[in-house]
Amino acid sequence: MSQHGPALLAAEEVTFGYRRGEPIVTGWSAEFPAGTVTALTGPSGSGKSTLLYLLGLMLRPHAGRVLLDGTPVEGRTDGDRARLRAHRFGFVFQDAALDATRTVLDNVVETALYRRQPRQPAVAAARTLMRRFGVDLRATHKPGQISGGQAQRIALCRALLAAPPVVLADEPTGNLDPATSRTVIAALREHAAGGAAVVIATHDPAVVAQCDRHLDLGGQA
Amino acid sequence: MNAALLREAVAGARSQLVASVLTIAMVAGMCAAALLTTGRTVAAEQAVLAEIDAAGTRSIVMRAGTEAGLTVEILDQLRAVAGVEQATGFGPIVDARNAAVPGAPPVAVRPAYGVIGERSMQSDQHPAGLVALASPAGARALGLPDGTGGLRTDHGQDVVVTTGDLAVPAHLRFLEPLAVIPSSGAGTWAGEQPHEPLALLVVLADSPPEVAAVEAVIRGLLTDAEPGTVTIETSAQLAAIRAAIGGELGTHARATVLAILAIAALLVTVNLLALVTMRRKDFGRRRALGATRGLIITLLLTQVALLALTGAALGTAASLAGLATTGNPLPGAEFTAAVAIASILVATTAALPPAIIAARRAPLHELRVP
Repeated sequence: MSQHGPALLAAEEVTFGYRRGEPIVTGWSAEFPAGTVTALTGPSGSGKSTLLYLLGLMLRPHAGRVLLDGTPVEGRTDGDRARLRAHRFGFVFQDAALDATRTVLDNVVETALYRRQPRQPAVAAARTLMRRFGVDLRATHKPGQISGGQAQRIALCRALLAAPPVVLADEPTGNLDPATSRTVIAALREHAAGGAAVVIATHDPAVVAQCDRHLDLGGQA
Repeated sequence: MNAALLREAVAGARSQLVASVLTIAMVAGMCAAALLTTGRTVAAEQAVLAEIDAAGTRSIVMRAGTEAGLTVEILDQLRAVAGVEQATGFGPIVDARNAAVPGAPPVAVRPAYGVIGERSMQSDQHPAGLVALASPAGARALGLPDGTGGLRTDHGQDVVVTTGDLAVPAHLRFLEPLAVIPSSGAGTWAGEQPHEPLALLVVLADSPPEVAAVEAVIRGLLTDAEPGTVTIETSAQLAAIRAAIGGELGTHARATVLAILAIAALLVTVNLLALVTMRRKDFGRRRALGATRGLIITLLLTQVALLALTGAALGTAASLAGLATTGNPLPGAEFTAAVAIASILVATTAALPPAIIAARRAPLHELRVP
């Protein structure tokens, strides 16, 4: 157990590589307690994003375990892991990863479909979040009609829509100005304060300074 | 169907307009090709078969001499026989003349029992005599220009033709010009006197293949008849020709439709494969955010099914309109519906391999930024 409380999410001796025999992550362990924001830092290629994807059940470790609420989940079926991603995780990707063919509002409520939740309450929640992040007036725009910073805030709205217990954010402030960056981190901190575990992969010392914990991968995760 | 999934499928189709229009066009083309080629063949086949049927492929004609012992009783026996659509019995011919025209030539009038077309041959009485019915040709032969008028039989009986537009079905047209005196009893095909003799019995089977079985039943009912006094004519040979024509045309039509469906299925698969390849990042994002493989497959299949439905409706409507405006025979509703449904099913099935490929996209491979 961590000094911050019970681990909501944990990695135990996780090893992974995109090519066999060339591991990017070797025997890596960490705990992510509820109510904390953890910064994951390290040079490019150190495996920050890969670790986020391992923790987010998008990759299966070659060795070791990933535990959610103390239960190993890395060996679950593909369908189970997809359902866990939909219900228990919120993701903010490095390039926002919005659907360019759909409106901003549709992008924010997209995950409601995967949770089989009705659309109308999701739309109401989405509008509240979008107002909070100052992108509500862009609801009917397509992603190609908004700035990179706005796209990242919309991705954040999507991640927080269902108030997931775990939020994994990959460079969430990479495209943002300092003021908006502070708003985003404040929102993630507020979400963590509600009992969630938030993990942020970042290069930005200002972001690291606002996090509760800091895990530096250095040259080796 | 989940409303949210349906909405997402519609939105997905609208967001990929070019691919969607291509899919609609392919399915519409598939329907049109099937209807404009095989549909015309089927319509022609139906017309040929209708002509053959008009020639009496389903009818059995029995002629009996007065000593044969064939009576109207057989009509009620036939009523209970499976495979008999209708039976009409005719008594011995009576010559009748137009009562208003002195020296008018005699015309054959027949007591009729059972059913002629949709009309029951129940006997009726007019104040001026027995009621008779005539076909337009019969009325002309009797010299009744407006179709009604009085007759007198050579036996001195007064008869009143009350209807001159009796519709004569195809299997009874050999009796034209037809004038009959309906003679069945109430609620029965036979007359009030079941032992009245019949000179002619025409039985219509439900379908050509049943003609032989119905004929056998009729022969079984005639065991008391004197040998050689009853002759039975059937159209078994015509029925065999009908079956052969139907089978040949049916085989050709099926082969053509199958070839069209196979080509269209291939095109739909290729189109969707291209779409899935172009949208691999989209499917990767969906998988990363929690969409199961099953949901991705269902989403794509629903999308294609909706597009196929639109294409089938457009293709069918355009083809039928084209056939109608050019004066070609239209294939039946059953064939048209079968082609439309087959097109939708084939297109949706053809979408399955690309849908599976889309669902198997690894989330990370599509999301990583180089």
